Amino acid sequence: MEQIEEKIQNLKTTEDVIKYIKESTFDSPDMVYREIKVLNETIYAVYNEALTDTDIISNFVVKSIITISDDYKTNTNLKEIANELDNYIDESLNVEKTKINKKQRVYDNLNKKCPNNEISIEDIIDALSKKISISKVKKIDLSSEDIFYYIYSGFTCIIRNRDILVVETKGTIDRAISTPMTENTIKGPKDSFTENYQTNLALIRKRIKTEKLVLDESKIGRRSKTKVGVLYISDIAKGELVLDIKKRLKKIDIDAILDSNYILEILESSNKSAFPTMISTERPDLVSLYLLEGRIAIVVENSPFTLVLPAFMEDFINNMDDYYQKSQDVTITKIVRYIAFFITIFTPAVYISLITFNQEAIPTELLLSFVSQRKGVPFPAFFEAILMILSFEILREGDYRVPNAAGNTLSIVGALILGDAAVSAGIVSPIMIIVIAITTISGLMFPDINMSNSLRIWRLIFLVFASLAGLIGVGVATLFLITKVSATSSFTKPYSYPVSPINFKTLKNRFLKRENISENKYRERILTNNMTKYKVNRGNNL
Amino acid sequence: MRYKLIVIIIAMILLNGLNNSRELNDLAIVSAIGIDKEDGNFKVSAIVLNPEKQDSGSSSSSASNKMIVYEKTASSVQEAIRSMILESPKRLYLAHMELLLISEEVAKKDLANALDFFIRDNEGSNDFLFVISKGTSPSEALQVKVQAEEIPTENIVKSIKASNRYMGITTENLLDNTLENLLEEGEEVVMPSIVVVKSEGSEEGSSEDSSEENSGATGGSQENGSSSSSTEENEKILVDTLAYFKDNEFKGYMTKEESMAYTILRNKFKSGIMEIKDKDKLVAEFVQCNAKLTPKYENGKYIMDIEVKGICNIAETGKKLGNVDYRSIEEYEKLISQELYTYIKQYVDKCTNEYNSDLMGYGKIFREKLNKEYKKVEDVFYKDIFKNIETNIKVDVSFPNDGGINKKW
Repeated sequence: MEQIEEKIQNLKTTEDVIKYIKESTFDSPDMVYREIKVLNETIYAVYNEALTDTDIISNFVVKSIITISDDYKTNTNLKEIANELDNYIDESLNVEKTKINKKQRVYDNLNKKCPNNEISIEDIIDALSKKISISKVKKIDLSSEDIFYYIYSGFTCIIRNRDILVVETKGTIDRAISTPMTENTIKGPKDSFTENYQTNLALIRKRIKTEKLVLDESKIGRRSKTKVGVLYISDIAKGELVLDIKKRLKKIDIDAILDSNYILEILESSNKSAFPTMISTERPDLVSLYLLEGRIAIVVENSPFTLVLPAFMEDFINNMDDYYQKSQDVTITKIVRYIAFFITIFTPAVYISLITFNQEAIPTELLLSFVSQRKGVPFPAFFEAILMILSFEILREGDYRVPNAAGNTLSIVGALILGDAAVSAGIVSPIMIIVIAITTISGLMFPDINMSNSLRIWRLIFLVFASLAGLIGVGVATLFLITKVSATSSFTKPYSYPVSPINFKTLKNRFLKRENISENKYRERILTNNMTKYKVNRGNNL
Repeated sequence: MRYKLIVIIIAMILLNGLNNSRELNDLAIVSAIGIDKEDGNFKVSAIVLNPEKQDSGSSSSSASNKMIVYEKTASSVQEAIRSMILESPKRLYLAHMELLLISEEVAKKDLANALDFFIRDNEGSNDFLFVISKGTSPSEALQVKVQAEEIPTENIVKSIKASNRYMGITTENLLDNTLENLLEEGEEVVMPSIVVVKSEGSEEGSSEDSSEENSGATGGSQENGSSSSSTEENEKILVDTLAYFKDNEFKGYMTKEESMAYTILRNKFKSGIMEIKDKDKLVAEFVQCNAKLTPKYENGKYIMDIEVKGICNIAETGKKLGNVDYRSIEEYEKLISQELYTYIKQYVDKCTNEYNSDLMGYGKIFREKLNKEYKKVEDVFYKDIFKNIETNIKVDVSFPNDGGINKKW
């Protein structure tokens, strides 16, 4: 390290710097070193071809340099003319007064334009940084800042000796804002985060137009140097949590951050349960809502998923669409979601325990139907269930990975043909297909993939317990689940809130119905100290 | 954590046990058991349901359920049921038993012994009906094929439940309330009965009660006249009136009116119909009928006040079409009350004098409400006092609606 620093210290001339860059990049072919002659000197514009927009470089950067230097050249020519004129005047002393006055004026003008007779390259760079018509221009110091960070962020470096001017010339390598891929909404806004950090920030900023929305940015990753922005509303979010998050982010020492899930995993490392304790969403409206509640958002460069923390279990059952539909209708949807939550965990386990342990608990006619369907199935019910779950998981994973064009084939072959044939062949019973299908479909109601994955794990745990001890096993597993959820905390906040610790007001407002937008004037105490949403004015202020 | 998990799983296996798991395919689901006496031994017949596999390819409307009948004779019920395993490939599973059909002979002589097994069996169901098979042997009655239901047992059980609900002439005797009646002092057991009727092949009306039943059955007649064509003789199963017991021994059958009076006095009456044939024909449908029995002890006399309150709707009038005027409603109320009074009066008289069986549960009521007086005569209650209890019956039937027809045509 010290050697490199010493080396950087020793760089003096332009050629030295260029040589240093060339050496460091192993003379990479996508690096462009463009010579520009200014006055008697050569300066260099260095940029990475792949990351930059060459149009911007040639139209603005190089052109500006040339025009500015040309201006100086003209000025120098004018000076020479003026000198000749001076000599000429001196020679013929007895000229008319007016001519002398004219000469004086020309001279003055020239002096005004170029105060020093000596024109230096610094002036050009100065002029460039002031005149260039590109937003981001910065002078950097070679010894304190990493020039390669700028080069690989799509900047063009204008190098003259140790003076380096960086000009942003990023090419558009990001996709445009599109509709959300994972969290669909029927009536709400259709924009979603992209891989572009600035765009993501903009999507949030344009929703909350206040100076109180604070961005705290840091670069994480020794090699990737990914920008990670912590967003919070300064007068709502709890200060200690913000400080804690900043501290934790600062501590991260990692090679590269390739996606927000890296951050998620590092911040969640103390969470031993399967349940996610951070929300990861691609909906800017959802992030804005959470920010206004007093939560903290983490925007990560190159990731279309923004993290929000702290998160409660209830958040994963709710959906942004709730806010865009009528409150009464949302209640029904919410009930359906809660039922689906239990179906997706319990159904296979309860079915297995009913047909292998607790047959007396089924109505006789249903039992007869089960018996007639199970007839001829050679496997024990537990094995049958595992077989079906496995094949559904294979189908699901295949469906995720397969190119869109082949998706239809997969679903037809997988779901229709395979399912039907398996029943006809007597490998599985039709009722088992129904059980697994309703289970899987219910699991898909939860858009957060981490949540549905954790439900999948619990489903298997329940299944094993049920196969060991029937409904008693399901009971034991339920205790386990409750214990686990209660023991989980999301950044010191209890995960099972508002059920435990119980908050009747929140339960009333949010558990079964969506809070009434115009009536609910208070925020959650657990998330913020600034609880009043609106200042309620007493009396007439007009 | 891992340690705890292992402990819990091991505990679950040991306490409840993997050995307790049983696949559906290995169970023979018993839907009904019939018990008969044969040379002093129990002849037990078990109806095992054997649903067919559905054909998934073709139209799968419903599983045609075949049933298998196992019959064994042994000195005890348990032995007979166990020995059925010799014949059956699967273990008999009693938790879904819905019906216990006993013959008159068993009911007369050996009810306690026959029931003991079902009380003690820990796996067995405890919500099956007790029914007496009138005339025929249980195994025969259980095998009568019917059209309405695929399983004959279902047919019997549903018929009995429906006739309890809509006719008010039977009761649903489940294991626990039967046991209660069996064991409790001052109570007698009553059981519904079924009868097998050979309709076309033999002459009609093999038993008087059933033909009467047949003519009176308007609501809840589950019995489908024509049975399946595969049986040579056309047989059908009818729900019959209640069988009464004395000292836990089967004595005989009540009439239809007595059965109705029984359910009313026991507050098990849900709905039923009553017909007046005298001058105006009137069919009244009871919506509600409650009885209140208050015991009294006055001047060395045991008195029972019976207060019956009923609510009726007019179901059918023979007189005129359209609205019924108010005066006649009052008349009808009187008529129905009178009719119900006679039902109950006759029933109580018959119980005290002819049957000599405490079917009203007088003993229990006196013991509970007039314990002091009852204690004095506990030993001789049925010998001396029961016959001489004075019964005051008050019947009040009301028609909440005027009998008008509200339908717009």
